[in-house]
Amino acid sequence: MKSRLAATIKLLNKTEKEAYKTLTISLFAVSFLSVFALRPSIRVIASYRKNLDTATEVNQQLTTKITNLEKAKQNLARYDIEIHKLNTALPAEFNQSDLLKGLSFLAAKNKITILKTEFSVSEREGLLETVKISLDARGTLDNIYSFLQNLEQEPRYIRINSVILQTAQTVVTAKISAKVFYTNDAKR
Amino acid sequence: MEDINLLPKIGFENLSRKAKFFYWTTKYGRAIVISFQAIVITLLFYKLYLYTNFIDISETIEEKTAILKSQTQTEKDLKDTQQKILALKSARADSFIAKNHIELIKKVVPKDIKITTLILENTSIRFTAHSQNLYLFSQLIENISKEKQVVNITLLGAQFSEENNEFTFDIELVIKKI
Repeated sequence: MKSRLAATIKLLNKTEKEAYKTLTISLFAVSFLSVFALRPSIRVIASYRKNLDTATEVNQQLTTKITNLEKAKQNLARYDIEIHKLNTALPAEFNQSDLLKGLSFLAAKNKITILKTEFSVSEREGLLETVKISLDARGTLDNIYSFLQNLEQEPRYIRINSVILQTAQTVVTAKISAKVFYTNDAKR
Repeated sequence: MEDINLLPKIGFENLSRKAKFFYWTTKYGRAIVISFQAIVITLLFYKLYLYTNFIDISETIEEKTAILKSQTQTEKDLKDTQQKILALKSARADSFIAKNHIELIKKVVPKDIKITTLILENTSIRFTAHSQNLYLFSQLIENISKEKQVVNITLLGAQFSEENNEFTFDIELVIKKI
């Protein structure tokens, strides 16, 4: 290989040899400058470009987030009544006296008698804390139906798990098992 | 009067090594260096342009971060509301509407059948019914079977009381969850 190169060089005349020498030196100079002058600049630019791209993306995401939050703020204001209803359905804490008052009011409204009310802390369901209610009531069938219907329409969400109705003459005894929920913000 | 050089021009190949190097430096080397300088200067300006843009965007980001910080409460309220909606949906998923079960019973039970016990649960209704004759019972079964939401009917027990002359049935209905 080396001898072939030497043989080829020998074939060149003096002018051609000088031309190749000039070319070689020029190529070497170009390579040298590329490595020591261009490469650092290009590297710095690439790094700046990368930072700029990242910053642009972050800026865009922040813009989107701000726009979405603005929309959310408007929606929160627009659906204020519904959100208030939601907060009433799932209050932050379990208030036994308020719940008892509500049940007594419903019972009086539907002309039934509440014989017994029991509350027991139940297991957690996802984000919500639950309290189990066992309620014994007595009244006419229609009044019990109406009470159940009103119970389901209460602003505070009450989930009826089971209802046992037993009739004796015109009086109906109802055993209602239900659950109420609260978010327990203090725990979250 | 112009000077005329009558000496023959010395060719590149005939120059000394030092002279050759100077010749190359002043002719080709200079061009290469100038070109590279031009490129590097262009790159420097481009770098300045990128840097200015980066500074501008960084300032905008800082401003927007401050805006976002001021809206932390809105974000918290929104997340809270979304979580509550999901929790309520999940709580409602296991619920049943007693009113619907009662309406179904009212609809399918003939007037002359008396119900003494009625148990309403999530997907089932159990009841004890008393009837004076079997015709009313068959009427009841027919009415129930017409209901599309009833998936299954099970007769848990049947009795005839000679004393009261009435039939007693324990029936369980499995209700399709909508």
